[in-house]
Amino acid sequence: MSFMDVKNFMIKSILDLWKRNRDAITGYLFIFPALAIFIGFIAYPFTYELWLSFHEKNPGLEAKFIGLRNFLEVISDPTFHRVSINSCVYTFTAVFAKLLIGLGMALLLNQKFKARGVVRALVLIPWALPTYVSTLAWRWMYHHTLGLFNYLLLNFGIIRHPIMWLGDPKMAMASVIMVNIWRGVPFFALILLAGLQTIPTELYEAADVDGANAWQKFRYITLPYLKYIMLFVTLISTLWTFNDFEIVYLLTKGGPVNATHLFATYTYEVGFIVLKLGLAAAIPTLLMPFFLTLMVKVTQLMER
Amino acid sequence: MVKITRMTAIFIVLIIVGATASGAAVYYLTKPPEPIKLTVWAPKHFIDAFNDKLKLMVFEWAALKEAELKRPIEVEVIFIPWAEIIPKWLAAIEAKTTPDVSEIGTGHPAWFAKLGALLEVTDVIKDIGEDKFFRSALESVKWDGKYWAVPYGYEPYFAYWRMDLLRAAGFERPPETWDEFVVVAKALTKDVDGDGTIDYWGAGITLGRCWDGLHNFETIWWSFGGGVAAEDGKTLIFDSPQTRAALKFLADLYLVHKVIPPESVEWTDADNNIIYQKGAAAFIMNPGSVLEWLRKNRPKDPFTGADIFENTWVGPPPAGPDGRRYFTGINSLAIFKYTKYPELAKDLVKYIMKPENHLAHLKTAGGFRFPVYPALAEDPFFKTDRWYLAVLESLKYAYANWPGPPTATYAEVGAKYIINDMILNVVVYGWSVESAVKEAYAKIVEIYKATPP
Amino acid sequence: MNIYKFHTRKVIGLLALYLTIAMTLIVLLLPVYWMVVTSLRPEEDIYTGVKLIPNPISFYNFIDLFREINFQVYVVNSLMVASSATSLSLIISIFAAYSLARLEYRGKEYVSRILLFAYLFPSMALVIPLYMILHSLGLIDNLLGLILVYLTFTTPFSTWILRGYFRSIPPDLEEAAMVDGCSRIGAIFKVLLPVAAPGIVATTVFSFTLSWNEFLYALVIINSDRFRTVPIGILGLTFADVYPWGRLMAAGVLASIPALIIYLVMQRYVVQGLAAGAVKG
Repeated sequence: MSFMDVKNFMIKSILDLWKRNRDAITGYLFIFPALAIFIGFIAYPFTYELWLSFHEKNPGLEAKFIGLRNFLEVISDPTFHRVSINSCVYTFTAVFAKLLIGLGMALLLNQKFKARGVVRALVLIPWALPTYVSTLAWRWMYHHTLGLFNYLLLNFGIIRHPIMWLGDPKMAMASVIMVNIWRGVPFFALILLAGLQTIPTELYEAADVDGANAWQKFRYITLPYLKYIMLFVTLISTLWTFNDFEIVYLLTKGGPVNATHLFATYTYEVGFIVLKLGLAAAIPTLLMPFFLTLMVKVTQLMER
Repeated sequence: MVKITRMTAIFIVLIIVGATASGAAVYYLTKPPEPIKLTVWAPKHFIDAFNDKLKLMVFEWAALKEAELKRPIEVEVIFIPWAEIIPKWLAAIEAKTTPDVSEIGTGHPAWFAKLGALLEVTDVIKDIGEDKFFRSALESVKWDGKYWAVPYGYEPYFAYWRMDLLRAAGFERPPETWDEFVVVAKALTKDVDGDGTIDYWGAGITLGRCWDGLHNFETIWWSFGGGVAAEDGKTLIFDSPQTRAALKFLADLYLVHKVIPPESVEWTDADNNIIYQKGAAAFIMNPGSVLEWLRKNRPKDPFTGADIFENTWVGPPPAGPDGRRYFTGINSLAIFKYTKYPELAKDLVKYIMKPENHLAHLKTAGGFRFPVYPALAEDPFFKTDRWYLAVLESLKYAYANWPGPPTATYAEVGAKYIINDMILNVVVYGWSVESAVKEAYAKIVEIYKATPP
Repeated sequence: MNIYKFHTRKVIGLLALYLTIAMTLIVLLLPVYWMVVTSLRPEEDIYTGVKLIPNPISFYNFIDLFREINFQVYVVNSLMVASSATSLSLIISIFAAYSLARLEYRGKEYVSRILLFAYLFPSMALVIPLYMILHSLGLIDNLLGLILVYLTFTTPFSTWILRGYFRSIPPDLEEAAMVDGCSRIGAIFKVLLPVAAPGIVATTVFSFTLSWNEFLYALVIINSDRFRTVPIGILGLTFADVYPWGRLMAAGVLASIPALIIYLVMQRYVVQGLAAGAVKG
């Protein structure tokens, strides 16, 4: 065979491969940029943190391998137990509330009424404000003497003594959760609203003809269409809320006495104050299997 | 087409290579030397003039050095808010991208020195003269027997008193001891408009989970003779009757005498400022930021209309059974180990700390910075302002830590709010003083074991 | 049922709707009202007590923002970073989402899950290694470095949302277009994206807001004042224990405007029933 024959054969084979697997190759190609970002900027930090959690490391000093000691230290720390309970209470309460209220608001905003666009934009504000500023504003509202809440409640005679929103151990957790809900509801509402907008209206019209009531329409048309998106925002919000830092840090710094200490504030303390970077890496590493399982299970539900 | 023989081709290649090689050689031989570049970081302070003056001094030094060395020197001064600077330092240390010189805060010299991030500056201190510094200033930059930073300025947590409120209650001067304090504070705490809420508080002491909460307690604690570690910085003396007495005293102020606002338990560092600035507190302990705010904004008392700034007395807090001691922050200038120009960095630090430069710098500081050189304390400038005078006189009672020097381990105890939580356990959760002290002691023992100073 | 009863029921329903909307807005926006009121009060006045209406009104807090710090520079930086990150991540995630929703290939499920790994660790844990990566690329104190880092948390989210949208839209439209001679990419842009407009709007707004408000990475990666973004610029207003409440609240008010504008603008391009109408044909 001559050189030309081999060349033609190779070209023909590649073209054949391309024609048969065109879809797959396009698929790989299209997803490559997203993967590249992951490989470039997530894979290394991720692996580094995993590696770090098995070492003892202070900033600037060499890392020393210590096996599972960091994990044992974390698990046996009573503060960590407190932090775990706090984080679970914080996350589950807040996400559940955000989902319910967000869904309600999405349904509301899907109705036709005047100035609907403006209202939708206004609803976005709690999410659009930088967390640093909005949390400071809430801190100011929770202020014992100069704060809005005590002022209103006292003036309307609802309470007789000012409430210590952040200093009373019973109130502190509720106060920080409230800020998280306030901030997160627009996220749920607007994403769910976008989901509602893709539901074809003839389905509702057909259901009306069949004599369905509002609840039935909701259960058999709305919910199935929203399933994917509801599961997704709940998953993302759960992951984000478990790792929430700024609200607690700015309002209570985890106090009073660890009553509102969360995973993220605890990790900050271990990493940036005690300067034990290995120990600080062990905390999210320890939690990762749980988050991973959650993610896999929920995404599986989303596939169906 | 021109016919190119083999010889011609080789010839042409040789000429090209030769030209490139000689061009490169000429370039490298005559290249001007790399400019020297030094970076300085400093926390952004409340007073712009103070920040600007530092920048000016650094550029002045660079100009002088350039003339002396006949080499271009570039300097950069970056001001970073306190809230950002710690993560930035840590990331920089990890990645070895630290600045050459940085102003650092209380407790930081030992903290960073332990990490091996700093350049030893014992020679700089000796050059300036060990005897030229206040003793407590040198204590705060020492670790492992060596000096790791050059003291730069004191930020004492002095006492602020509302003289108008004191006089109205029949007192001519602020109380000298904590026992007297109880009497005075109780007299000053009152509800003037009869609406059921207290309008003036005799003691704006912070109990919350923040640095002010720690430092307010330290002032009381040390004057009662209690502390965490002995003079060697290692032997724990925390579990003592003095600690219990100080804690009981503070708790009583809150629970029994009720001279501290109830919401003090949720205060952050800014809240004792706020309560004094709005005129509702007769007494707080704080650095000079409040003084400067009052000077700039001139708030008036909501009930009497009195000018709060004019009526403010500053000076040392009351004395306890074991003497008069109170907390002062002390900032210093440190050189990071990774600097490419250690000798130049040391020279820069020496220039900034030259007495006449230091004085000029402090003059821009208003009330919030005080000299680390006792000699400068004599300068007439500090006698022009009654506030400076008062604080300066009280500096001899100021300590960065007592009885031992500030150590990285003690800083960790502070940063984890162990002492704050001990106080909160008593005043919020109703623990006995005994159990709160015991619990805090257990945690402190663990920290001192895991991270010995 | 007679016409009057029907009319009344409609009116009551409408009233209930407006009432609920009003109450929701009040609850959500109370803190914002508080912020606006505080931002319009002079600094000393703020300490005198609670006021529901600012009196005297002062715009100095807003003016001071531009005088004391370079707020306008921060706004420009944030705009550049947020819009670049948003548009880049939009392009990347449109292709990625299309790939996941329409094309079949081995390992597709694993790939889609891997993208979400970005959210398993808090940003605090990732900040130091990311800092080191950027340092080795020479992108510290550089807005491009920040943009790249922001892509790590905007892209996974956008990809999954858009994937959901694409999946719920039947492929008939694009196939029809491709049969008519359109390239695949042409079909995406001419046919699929217009129909998926609500999803595009949502992801754009949220990516923009996430980038605009991001705090930790901007804090550690950017040093120079001229590259600061708005959240860090606002942080720079505070000093240890001094919080200029008036200016902080004013900065907050200004900082929320861009996201609002973007949403208002993009909102108009989404017409409900567009999806339904297109699919029906």
